[in-house]
Amino acid sequence: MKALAVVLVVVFVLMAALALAHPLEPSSLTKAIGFSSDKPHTKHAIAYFVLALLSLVWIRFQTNAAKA
Amino acid sequence: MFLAVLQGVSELFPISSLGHTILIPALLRWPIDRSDESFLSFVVVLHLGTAIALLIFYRQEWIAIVSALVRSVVRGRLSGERDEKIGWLLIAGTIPVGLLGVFFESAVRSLFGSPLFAAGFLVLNAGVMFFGEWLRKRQLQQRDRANKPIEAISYADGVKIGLAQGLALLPGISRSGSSIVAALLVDLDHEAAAKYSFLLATPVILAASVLEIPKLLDPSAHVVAGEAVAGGVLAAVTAYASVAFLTKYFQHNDLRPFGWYCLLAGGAAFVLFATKVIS
Repeated sequence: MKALAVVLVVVFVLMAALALAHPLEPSSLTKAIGFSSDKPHTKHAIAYFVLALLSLVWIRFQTNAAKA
Repeated sequence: MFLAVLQGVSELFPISSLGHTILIPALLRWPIDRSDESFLSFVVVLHLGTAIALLIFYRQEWIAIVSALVRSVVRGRLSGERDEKIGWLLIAGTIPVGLLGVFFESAVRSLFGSPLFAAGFLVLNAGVMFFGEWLRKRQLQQRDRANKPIEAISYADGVKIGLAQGLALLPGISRSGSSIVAALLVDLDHEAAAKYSFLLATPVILAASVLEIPKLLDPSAHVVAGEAVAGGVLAAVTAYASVAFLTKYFQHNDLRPFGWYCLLAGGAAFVLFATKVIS
């Protein structure tokens, strides 16, 4: 489970970076996930960062559970 | 100022603030452009006022919840204490509604933002409240299920309540109505369900308004500072009075009066818009 949490942190940070860089052609999917180039998607980036932060908290709980 | 009072009241009463801010200007033929930057900025201030009122009303709960959450993260494990469980339940419930809002808000608003849809969803909101009350009564009669305190609900149930709150993206469906119904169905009583619904709404309303603050600072917004501050304060005062009233109201009463209001108001508005008496 800890490995999954680490993967999630990396994925969410990458997604946040993509939302800020917004490099893809606008389509309904890229607009929904915040990667479309029509505008910067600050809200999406913040949401992804919050999810990354929660995944970090999950790692902390997993690490402590393993120690115990 | 009327919009500020409307926002303060309808955001917390289970009657859909979004539905009312679409329906009332259309019914009264106010020349409001909902996509106008000045209007959007004013709405941001009203939401901020509502969120601040909720934070002030539940200040003791929030201080206890946030400190319990910080303690659990520092400790790196759950202790099972009440405020900590409520804090993690609120986080579990806020994730789905936050994601639904970020990913689908624009699409839903552009699809269903018309007064006709808002009126139809207001009628549906009435149905949700009547159906929820009926189901809860049935659960209590048939399965002998007792009411639980908030901290006794499971994280899965917390997520379900959060998902129910996400229905409020549809104009006419109430955030508090849908989350109170979902909380009733996981065995909270009306008082606890309303309190949990208001606690759950606070971070969502606060985040939604804080994230829109850049619009206030945009030169194209043309927000008059005095009007905005007065509107925000008025929304905060009415929201505080609303939450104070509703917490007392739900000690001994249920959602049905709000259901009747939504049914009648939504039904009448639907007929007026569908028959093009008002366009």
